[in-house]
Amino acid sequence: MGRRQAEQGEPMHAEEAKAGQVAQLVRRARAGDHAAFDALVEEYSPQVYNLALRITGSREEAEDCVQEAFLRAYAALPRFRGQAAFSTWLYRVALNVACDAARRRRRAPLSVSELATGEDPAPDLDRPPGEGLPPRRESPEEGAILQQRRRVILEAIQRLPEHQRAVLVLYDLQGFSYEDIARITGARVGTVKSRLSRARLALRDLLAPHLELLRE
Amino acid sequence: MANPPPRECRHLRERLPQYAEGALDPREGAPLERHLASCARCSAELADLRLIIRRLREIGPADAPAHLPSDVRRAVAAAAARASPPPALPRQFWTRIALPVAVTAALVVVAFALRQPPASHTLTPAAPGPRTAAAGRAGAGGRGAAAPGRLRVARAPEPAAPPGGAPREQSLAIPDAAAPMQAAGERPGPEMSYRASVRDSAPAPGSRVLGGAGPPGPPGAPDRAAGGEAAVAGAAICEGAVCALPSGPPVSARAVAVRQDGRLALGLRLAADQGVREVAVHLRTAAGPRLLWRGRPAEAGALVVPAEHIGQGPTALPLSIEAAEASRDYILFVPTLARLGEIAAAAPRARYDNVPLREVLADLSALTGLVVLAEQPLDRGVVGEMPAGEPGEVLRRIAASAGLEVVPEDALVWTLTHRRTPQ
Repeated sequence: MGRRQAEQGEPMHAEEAKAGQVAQLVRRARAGDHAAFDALVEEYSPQVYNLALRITGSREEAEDCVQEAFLRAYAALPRFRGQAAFSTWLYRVALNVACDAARRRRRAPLSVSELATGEDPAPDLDRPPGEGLPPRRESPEEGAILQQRRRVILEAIQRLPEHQRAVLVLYDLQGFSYEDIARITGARVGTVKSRLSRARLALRDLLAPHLELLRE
Repeated sequence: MANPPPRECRHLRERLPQYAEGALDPREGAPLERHLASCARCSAELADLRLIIRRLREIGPADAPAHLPSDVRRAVAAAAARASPPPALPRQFWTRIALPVAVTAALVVVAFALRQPPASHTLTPAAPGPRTAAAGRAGAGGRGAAAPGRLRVARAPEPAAPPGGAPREQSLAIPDAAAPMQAAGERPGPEMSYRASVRDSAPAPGSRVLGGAGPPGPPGAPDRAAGGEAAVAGAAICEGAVCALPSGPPVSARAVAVRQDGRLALGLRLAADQGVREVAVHLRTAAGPRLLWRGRPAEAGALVVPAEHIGQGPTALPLSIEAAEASRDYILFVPTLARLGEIAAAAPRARYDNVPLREVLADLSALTGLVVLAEQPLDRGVVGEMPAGEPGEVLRRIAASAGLEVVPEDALVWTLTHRRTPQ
C-alpha cells in the first residue's frame, strides 16, 4: 500500500519483491493451488478486515465481509487477468462487500438532523483486546481520554456518506495513495481528492461538538 | 456555525483539507493563503482540520481476530469442494437479502406434511395424530381441507380473537397440485416438505408439538405425514414437529418463527447429525413454486441446533431477529418477502412528494392487501409524484417500475424442504 510505505521510506526493492511473490501466489492459486490462495488469505486478511471494520463499524460484520470478499475473490480468480495488482483488485471486492454490509446495517439513510443529534444507534466500535489501547505509560485519565477521542472519531466516520467514508478510510486510516484509491473505487483521481476534501469537512462539522476532546 | 460563511469562504473551503496537509498546488494555494490571512473563521477551520487529520492518523489499524484467516481458509476450502453451487456465501446472501427486507408478517402458521414419493408429487393431508384444531378441521374435510389440488392457507383471525382462537381459513387453488415442489433440475429423492403459511394467532393449547413419528409405512405407500401446525406466540416463537420418512429414522425438525418489531423471521430448526444434507426454501406463489435458496444446513439459512435443544421449547435458544443477524452460529430462514402493508395501522399520508419508495409501497400495500416481493433491501428509491388511479393498480405500476413483483397476500406459502441422505 503505497502512501504510508513511501512516507515511511520502505525500500522500493522490498515492495517490488513482495509484489513479485504475490503475483506468483496468484498464478499458483489460479492454477488450483489451494495453499497459494491460503497464503494470500494470510497475507491480506488483516488489511481487508481493517477496511471492512472501518467501513461497517462492526467487528462481526467485518469478519463476515472478509470471508465474503475472499470467497468472491476465489470465485472470480479465473477471471482475474492481472491488469491491476491483486491487492487493488481484492480491496475493490472487499470495499464493495463492506459497503453493501454497511448499507444493510443502516437500512435507511441518515438525515442531517440525525447526524447533528447523533440519534442513530452507536455503531459497534468495541475493540478487540489490545486494539488501540493506550500505551502503558498513560495514566488512567489519559487512557480514558484517548479511548473517548477514538470513539467519537470512529462514530463520526460512520455517519459520513458512503463515498466519502470509503475515501476517507482508504486515505486517512489505511494509508492508500490517491491513485490506489482511484483504482480501488473506480473513480478518477480528481474525484477521489474532491470526495476526500468533502469527507474531511463533513467530519469536521460532525466533530465540532468534540473539538475540545480532540485538542486534549 | 451561527452565521453562514461568506461566499468567498464557501468558495475556498473545499481546498482547506488539502491545504491542511500541504497537498495543495502552490498556484491553487496562493489565493487561499491570502484569504486565510484576513479570515479568522477559515483559519480556525484550518486548525480544526489539521487537528482532525492528525487524530485520524493516530487511530491505527485494529487487530484482526486471530481465528479469521483460518475461518476464511475453511470457508474457501468448503467452497472449493463444492462443484455447485459456486462459492458464494449463502449465509451472507441470506443475511444481505432476506433479513433487511423481511418486514412484518401478520401471522404465522406452520403446517407440516410429508410429500408422497417423487413419482406422484401429490401433497398428502396430515396423518392422524395429535393436532391442533385447524389441522383437525383440515383433515376432516372442513372448510380448509387440504384436498388434492388445493393448499390450505390460514388467514389471520380478527384482532379481538382470544388466544388460541381458530383462524379463518381459506383454500387457495394451486394451479397444479401435483406439481413438484422442487425446482427444475432438482433430482427427486426422499425428502420432506415443510410448508409454512402465514396467519396471526396465539398457539392453541397443546399445539407446541404437533405430530409424532410413527413407524414407517410399507414400501410404496404414501409418506406418512406427522403433520400439524404451529403458531407464533406473541412476539416470539415457534413450533415444532417430528416426522418420519418411509424408511429410515425420524427426522426431528421444528418450525421457528420470530416476530419482532414488525419483522418476521421464519425458519426451520433441525437437530444436527440427522443426515439432513440439503435445505431448500421455496416461495410458492400463485404462479408456481419458486426456489429462493438452497444450501447445506450447516452452512447457512437453516437453523441447526444441537439435538438436545430440540424439544426444549422456544426459550431454549435466544431467538430474535437481532440474534439471527448477529449470530455466527445460526441463522433463521427469512423469506425474501416484504409484507410492507403491515407497517402501519398508520393512515396513508395526505400528500406524496418525494416519499421513499418503501413507504409508498407500504401504504399502498396496507390499502390493498397486496404484497410486494423484494429481493433487495428497499432502502433506495423515491416516488416523486404518485400516479393517479386505483390503489392496487398504482401499487403495481410503482412496483413494476422498481422491478418488484406484487402478489396477493394469500398466494404466499413458504416451503422448506429438507432432504435426507438415503439410509
